[in-house]
Amino acid sequence: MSSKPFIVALNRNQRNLEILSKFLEQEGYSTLGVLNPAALDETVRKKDNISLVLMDISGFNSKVWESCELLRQREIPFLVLSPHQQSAVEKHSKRHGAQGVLVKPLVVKELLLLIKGLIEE
Amino acid sequence: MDSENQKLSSGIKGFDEILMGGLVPQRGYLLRGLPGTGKTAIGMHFLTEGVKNQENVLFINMGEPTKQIIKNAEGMGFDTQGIEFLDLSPDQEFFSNKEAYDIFSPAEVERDSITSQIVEKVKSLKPTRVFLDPITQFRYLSTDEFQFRKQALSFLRFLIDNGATVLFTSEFSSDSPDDDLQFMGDGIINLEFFSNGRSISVSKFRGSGFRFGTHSMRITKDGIKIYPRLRPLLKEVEFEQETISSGVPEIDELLHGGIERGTATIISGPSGVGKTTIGIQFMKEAAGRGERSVVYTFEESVSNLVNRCESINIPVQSMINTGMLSVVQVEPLRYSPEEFAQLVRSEVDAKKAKIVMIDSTSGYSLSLRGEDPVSHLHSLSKYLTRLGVTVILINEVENISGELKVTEIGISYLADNIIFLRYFEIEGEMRKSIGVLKKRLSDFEKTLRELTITKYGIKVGKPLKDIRGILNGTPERVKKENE
Repeated sequence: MSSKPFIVALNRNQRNLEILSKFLEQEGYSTLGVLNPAALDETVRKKDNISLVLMDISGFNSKVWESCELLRQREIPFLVLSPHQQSAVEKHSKRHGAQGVLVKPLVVKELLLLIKGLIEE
Repeated sequence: MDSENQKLSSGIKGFDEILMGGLVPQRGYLLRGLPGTGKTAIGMHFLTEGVKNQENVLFINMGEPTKQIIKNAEGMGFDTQGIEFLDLSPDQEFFSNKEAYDIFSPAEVERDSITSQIVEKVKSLKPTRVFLDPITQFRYLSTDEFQFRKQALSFLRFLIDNGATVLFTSEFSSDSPDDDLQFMGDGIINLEFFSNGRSISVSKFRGSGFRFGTHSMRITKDGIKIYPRLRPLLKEVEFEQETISSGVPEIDELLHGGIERGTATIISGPSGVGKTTIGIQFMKEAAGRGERSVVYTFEESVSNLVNRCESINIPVQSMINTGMLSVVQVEPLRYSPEEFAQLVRSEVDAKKAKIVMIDSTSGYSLSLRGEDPVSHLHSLSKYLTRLGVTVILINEVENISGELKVTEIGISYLADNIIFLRYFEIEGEMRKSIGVLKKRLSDFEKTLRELTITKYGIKVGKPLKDIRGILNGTPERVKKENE
């Protein structure tokens, strides 16, 4: 089994997942991209080595918060990625256990530092 | 110090003239203009000129795809063989969402890949000419203005240090100015599009002089044509200072011999009085001496002019046939003043025309696109006279009679000589008179003479000493003492 920290990313945009994986893998993380909340839920139920989830909520409806609840129950840390700075998103994310909310476009260096900090915790 | 030999041709003759020989090599030049002003076409000239000289040339296209550029270029007659393209334009995958992303800024995602592609290409090709269209795409690959400036500067430095002369375009608007790029470029070339035509101007050119001001530009099916604004020659060309006869002894008497070679003469008068005929008369005499003349007619058709002159015994058709005369009809709004000046210039340089007549000055002002026709006419006239060409400007005044007004567009200062024609009515009969108002290089007869144009030619009578008041429009016979 790989000793690399395992990060799962939810994003409905395949290209976003590819770019994200490229940057994360360059930093030594193992990654898996999923395109919808159902696939994320399935992965969470099947894998027990998830270090972190990056959850891009763009394009999903409120059911995405149910996936957040599942992560909270499993005590898997996760960050919510949002296309806009919105207090409603911030409020929901926090309420459902998110470690933080990041607004796109993200700055690679800052994201990597944040991930490193969360995983080391 | 620069000499013309050390310069790099832009591939456009008129542009090289503005740049006083061409671009200074291994420098970066900003080519700025709104869409459709001809930036890419100028770039194609720049690159194809390099190909012609067996240079390696590179087109870095960040906006349009290569296929489209080649298609457009070939439509304008460019041969794109030999041009290396580095296509960094977005492909259709991007539109279909397969390539679109929003998680990071393009600056984070694309920059490394684009930079490495450029570095690799430049190192392998070692181009001497690079056309980058548009550099402003780099703005989207930079996180802020400071980063953009730093990256653009170091990118230009990289290309130049690798032996290239760089032409880079910018797309700008009021929301996205390109002032920063203007500071970066060693030269700035501005392209503009007005309702009356296109223009090009240079506002910065480090290490060389250049022709200031706006110059006319045209996009044709054969590429870009640039017509530099005509400047009077700094040094006069030596030519024989002699008087040119009109071939009509009485007109020569009025002019104390004729008009001097290398001078500008205004022939002024109302409609139908015979201005063009007098002008052509000088050309008829020139043809007899074996000298070529050219008439630019803005109002009358060539056939009308020919028929009219033939009917008064001026053999214009045979003068045309023997190459002693060329009559050029100028279509309204076809040319800018600079283009027209080039037309005249080529006639004088290549075909050695000795007399140039512009018929008429008001037609010139109305027919040529652009502003300030009088100053262009001044430049053209000065340019020609310094070459020893005799210029005749036909000037129509609206008033048939009344107070004398030499011109209506304020051009009398252009003339070394002014010949004026007037109608006058005496004893119920409409008659014509001819006189000289100004002659810079010699004295002239101060009296008026009667002018008649018959099927045998121009006839000028003795001085009209028995009639006064022609100039103020109230002619009357002078009473003799015994009357």
